[in-house]
Amino acid sequence: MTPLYKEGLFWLILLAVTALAYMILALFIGPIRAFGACGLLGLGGLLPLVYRKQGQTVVLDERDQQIAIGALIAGYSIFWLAFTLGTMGLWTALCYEGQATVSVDLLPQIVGGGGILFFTARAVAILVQYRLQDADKGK
Amino acid sequence: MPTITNQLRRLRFEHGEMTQQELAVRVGVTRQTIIAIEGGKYTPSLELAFRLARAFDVGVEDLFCWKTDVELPENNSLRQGG
Repeated sequence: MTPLYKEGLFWLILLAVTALAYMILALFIGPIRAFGACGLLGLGGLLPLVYRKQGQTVVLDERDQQIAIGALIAGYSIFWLAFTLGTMGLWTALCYEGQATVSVDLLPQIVGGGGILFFTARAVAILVQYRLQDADKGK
Repeated sequence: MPTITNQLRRLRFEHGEMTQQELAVRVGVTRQTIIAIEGGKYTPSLELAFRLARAFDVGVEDLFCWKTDVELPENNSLRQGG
Protein backbone atom coordinates (compact mmCIF):
# COMPACT_ATOMS: atom_id res chain seq x y z
CA MET A 1 0.00 0.00 0.00
CA THR A 2 1.63 3.23 -1.13
CA PRO A 3 1.52 6.38 1.03
CA LEU A 4 -0.74 8.10 -1.52
CA TYR A 5 -3.21 5.20 -1.31
CA LYS A 6 -3.05 5.48 2.48
CA GLU A 7 -3.78 9.19 2.16
CA GLY A 8 -6.88 8.52 0.06
CA LEU A 9 -8.06 5.94 2.54
CA PHE A 10 -7.30 8.24 5.47
CA TRP A 11 -9.39 11.07 3.98
CA LEU A 12 -12.35 8.81 3.25
CA ILE A 13 -12.33 7.40 6.79
CA LEU A 14 -11.90 10.85 8.33
CA LEU A 15 -14.76 12.28 6.24
CA ALA A 16 -17.01 9.35 7.17
CA VAL A 17 -16.18 9.74 10.87
CA THR A 18 -16.85 13.49 10.64
CA ALA A 19 -20.20 12.91 8.93
CA LEU A 20 -21.14 10.39 11.61
CA ALA A 21 -20.08 12.78 14.38
CA TYR A 22 -22.14 15.55 12.76
CA MET A 23 -25.25 13.36 12.63
CA ILE A 24 -24.89 12.30 16.26
CA LEU A 25 -24.21 15.85 17.46
CA ALA A 26 -27.11 17.20 15.39
CA LEU A 27 -29.49 15.03 17.38
CA PHE A 28 -28.38 16.61 20.65
CA ILE A 29 -27.31 20.19 19.92
CA GLY A 30 -29.05 20.94 16.62
CA PRO A 31 -27.89 20.93 13.00
CA ILE A 32 -26.13 24.32 13.06
CA ARG A 33 -24.00 23.89 16.17
CA ALA A 34 -23.24 20.33 15.10
CA PHE A 35 -21.05 21.76 12.32
CA GLY A 36 -18.43 21.91 15.06
CA ALA A 37 -17.82 18.25 14.19
CA CYS A 38 -16.01 19.52 11.10
CA GLY A 39 -13.15 20.39 13.46
CA LEU A 40 -12.26 16.71 13.23
CA LEU A 41 -11.10 17.37 9.67
CA GLY A 42 -8.14 19.16 11.23
CA LEU A 43 -6.71 15.68 11.83
CA GLY A 44 -5.79 15.83 8.14
CA GLY A 45 -2.77 17.76 9.40
CA LEU A 46 -1.34 14.42 10.55
CA LEU A 47 -1.02 13.23 6.95
CA PRO A 48 2.72 13.95 6.56
CA LEU A 49 3.22 10.99 8.92
CA VAL A 50 2.23 8.54 6.17
CA TYR A 51 4.97 9.96 3.93
CA ARG A 52 7.79 9.06 6.31
CA LYS A 53 10.61 7.30 4.53
CA GLN A 54 11.26 3.77 5.80
CA GLY A 55 14.59 2.22 4.88
CA GLN A 56 15.36 2.08 1.18
CA THR A 57 11.78 2.05 0.01
CA VAL A 58 10.68 4.79 -2.34
CA VAL A 59 7.81 6.87 -0.95
CA LEU A 60 6.44 8.46 -4.13
CA ASP A 61 7.36 7.65 -7.71
CA GLU A 62 6.24 8.80 -11.16
CA ARG A 63 3.13 6.60 -11.18
CA ASP A 64 2.02 7.99 -7.80
CA GLN A 65 2.57 11.50 -9.10
CA GLN A 66 0.43 10.79 -12.17
CA ILE A 67 -2.31 9.38 -9.97
CA ALA A 68 -2.07 12.38 -7.63
CA ILE A 69 -2.44 14.78 -10.57
CA GLY A 70 -5.41 12.82 -11.95
CA ALA A 71 -7.04 12.83 -8.53
CA LEU A 72 -6.42 16.56 -8.13
CA ILE A 73 -8.11 17.25 -11.48
CA ALA A 74 -11.05 14.99 -10.56
CA GLY A 75 -11.42 16.66 -7.16
CA TYR A 76 -11.23 20.15 -8.59
CA SER A 77 -13.68 19.36 -11.40
CA ILE A 78 -16.27 17.97 -8.99
CA PHE A 79 -15.74 20.88 -6.62
CA TRP A 80 -16.10 23.46 -9.39
CA LEU A 81 -19.20 21.78 -10.81
CA ALA A 82 -20.94 21.65 -7.44
CA PHE A 83 -19.70 25.04 -6.28
CA THR A 84 -20.83 26.81 -9.46
CA LEU A 85 -24.15 25.03 -9.59
CA GLY A 86 -24.63 25.64 -5.86
CA THR A 87 -23.81 29.32 -5.90
CA MET A 88 -24.96 30.47 -9.32
CA GLY A 89 -27.93 28.13 -9.34
CA LEU A 90 -29.01 29.09 -5.86
CA TRP A 91 -28.55 32.76 -6.61
CA THR A 92 -30.54 32.62 -9.82
CA ALA A 93 -33.29 30.48 -8.37
CA LEU A 94 -33.77 32.48 -5.17
CA CYS A 95 -33.04 35.98 -6.38
CA TYR A 96 -35.07 35.95 -9.54
CA GLU A 97 -36.29 39.51 -10.10
CA GLY A 98 -35.20 40.47 -6.60
CA GLN A 99 -37.77 38.31 -4.89
CA ALA A 100 -35.36 37.05 -2.26
CA THR A 101 -31.72 37.16 -1.25
CA VAL A 102 -29.19 34.53 -0.35
CA SER A 103 -27.90 35.07 3.16
CA VAL A 104 -24.20 35.81 3.38
CA ASP A 105 -24.16 33.40 6.32
CA LEU A 106 -24.43 30.62 3.75
CA LEU A 107 -21.08 31.47 2.20
CA PRO A 108 -18.83 29.71 4.75
CA GLN A 109 -21.02 26.64 4.51
CA ILE A 110 -20.86 26.64 0.72
CA VAL A 111 -17.07 27.04 0.78
CA GLY A 112 -16.73 24.41 3.52
CA GLY A 113 -19.02 22.04 1.67
CA GLY A 114 -17.02 22.61 -1.49
CA GLY A 115 -13.82 21.75 0.36
CA ILE A 116 -15.32 18.56 1.74
CA LEU A 117 -16.53 17.64 -1.74
CA PHE A 118 -13.07 18.31 -3.16
CA PHE A 119 -11.31 16.07 -0.65
CA THR A 120 -13.94 13.34 -1.01
CA ALA A 121 -13.72 13.29 -4.82
CA ARG A 122 -9.92 13.40 -4.70
CA ALA A 123 -9.74 10.50 -2.21
CA VAL A 124 -12.16 8.42 -4.29
CA ALA A 125 -10.20 9.18 -7.46
CA ILE A 126 -6.95 8.10 -5.79
CA LEU A 127 -8.41 4.79 -4.64
CA VAL A 128 -10.15 4.10 -7.97
CA GLN A 129 -6.99 4.74 -10.00
CA TYR A 130 -4.93 2.43 -7.80
CA ARG A 131 -7.64 -0.24 -7.95
CA LEU A 132 -7.72 -0.06 -11.75
CA GLN A 133 -3.95 -0.32 -12.09
CA ASP A 134 -3.49 -3.02 -9.44
CA ALA A 135 -6.45 -5.09 -10.59
CA ASP A 136 -4.35 -8.10 -11.53
CA LYS A 137 -2.06 -7.86 -8.54
CA GLY A 138 -2.79 -11.41 -7.43
CA LYS A 139 -1.87 -13.04 -10.74
CA MET B 1 -4.72 -0.43 -31.01
CA PRO B 2 -1.03 -0.24 -30.05
CA THR B 3 0.01 -1.99 -26.86
CA ILE B 4 3.28 -2.12 -25.03
CA THR B 5 4.31 -5.50 -23.71
CA ASN B 6 7.35 -6.23 -21.57
CA GLN B 7 9.70 -8.99 -20.51
CA LEU B 8 10.10 -7.76 -16.95
CA ARG B 9 8.94 -10.91 -15.21
CA ARG B 10 11.08 -13.20 -17.38
CA LEU B 11 14.17 -11.03 -16.93
CA ARG B 12 13.68 -10.89 -13.17
CA PHE B 13 13.70 -14.66 -12.98
CA GLU B 14 16.67 -14.92 -15.30
CA HIS B 15 18.58 -12.57 -13.01
CA GLY B 16 18.65 -14.78 -9.94
CA GLU B 17 14.91 -14.62 -9.32
CA MET B 18 15.17 -10.99 -8.40
CA THR B 19 12.17 -9.91 -6.30
CA GLN B 20 9.90 -7.05 -7.29
CA GLN B 21 11.05 -5.18 -4.19
CA GLU B 22 14.72 -5.56 -5.11
CA LEU B 23 14.06 -4.28 -8.61
CA ALA B 24 11.96 -1.42 -7.25
CA VAL B 25 14.77 -0.28 -4.95
CA ARG B 26 17.30 -0.61 -7.76
CA VAL B 27 15.38 1.63 -10.17
CA GLY B 28 13.89 3.96 -7.55
CA VAL B 29 10.17 3.23 -7.68
CA THR B 30 7.64 1.51 -5.44
CA ARG B 31 6.99 -2.23 -5.64
CA GLN B 32 3.42 -1.45 -6.69
CA THR B 33 4.73 0.32 -9.77
CA ILE B 34 6.77 -2.74 -10.75
CA ILE B 35 3.62 -4.85 -10.31
CA ALA B 36 1.62 -2.44 -12.46
CA ILE B 37 4.27 -2.42 -15.22
CA GLU B 38 4.55 -6.21 -15.23
CA GLY B 39 0.79 -6.50 -15.44
CA GLY B 40 0.68 -4.09 -18.38
CA LYS B 41 -1.41 -1.67 -16.36
CA TYR B 42 1.11 1.13 -16.40
CA THR B 43 3.47 2.33 -19.11
CA PRO B 44 6.64 3.78 -17.58
CA SER B 45 8.26 7.02 -18.61
CA LEU B 46 11.19 6.84 -20.99
CA GLU B 47 13.59 7.53 -18.14
CA LEU B 48 12.21 4.68 -16.04
CA ALA B 49 12.26 2.39 -19.08
CA PHE B 50 15.98 3.10 -19.48
CA ARG B 51 16.61 2.55 -15.78
CA LEU B 52 14.80 -0.79 -15.91
CA ALA B 53 16.72 -1.86 -18.99
CA ARG B 54 19.99 -0.87 -17.37
CA ALA B 55 19.12 -2.88 -14.24
CA PHE B 56 19.06 -6.01 -16.43
CA ASP B 57 21.89 -4.86 -18.68
CA VAL B 58 19.73 -5.09 -21.80
CA GLY B 59 18.43 -2.60 -24.34
CA VAL B 60 15.07 -0.90 -23.93
CA GLU B 61 13.71 -2.76 -26.95
CA ASP B 62 14.73 -6.07 -25.39
CA LEU B 63 12.59 -5.18 -22.42
CA PHE B 64 9.65 -3.40 -24.02
CA CYS B 65 7.90 -4.18 -27.25
CA TRP B 66 5.43 -1.92 -29.02
CA LYS B 67 2.82 -3.94 -30.83
CA THR B 68 0.71 -2.03 -33.30
CA ASP B 69 -1.58 -2.92 -36.18
CA VAL B 70 -0.82 0.40 -37.85
CA GLU B 71 1.92 0.21 -40.49
CA LEU B 72 4.36 3.11 -40.69
CA PRO B 73 4.28 4.86 -44.11
CA GLU B 74 7.01 3.89 -46.57
CA ASN B 75 8.50 7.37 -46.68
CA ASN B 76 8.59 7.63 -42.89
CA SER B 77 11.78 9.41 -41.80
CA LEU B 78 12.37 6.77 -39.12
CA ARG B 79 12.61 4.10 -41.78
CA GLN B 80 14.98 6.19 -43.82
CA GLY B 81 17.35 6.30 -40.88
CA GLY B 82 17.16 10.03 -40.41
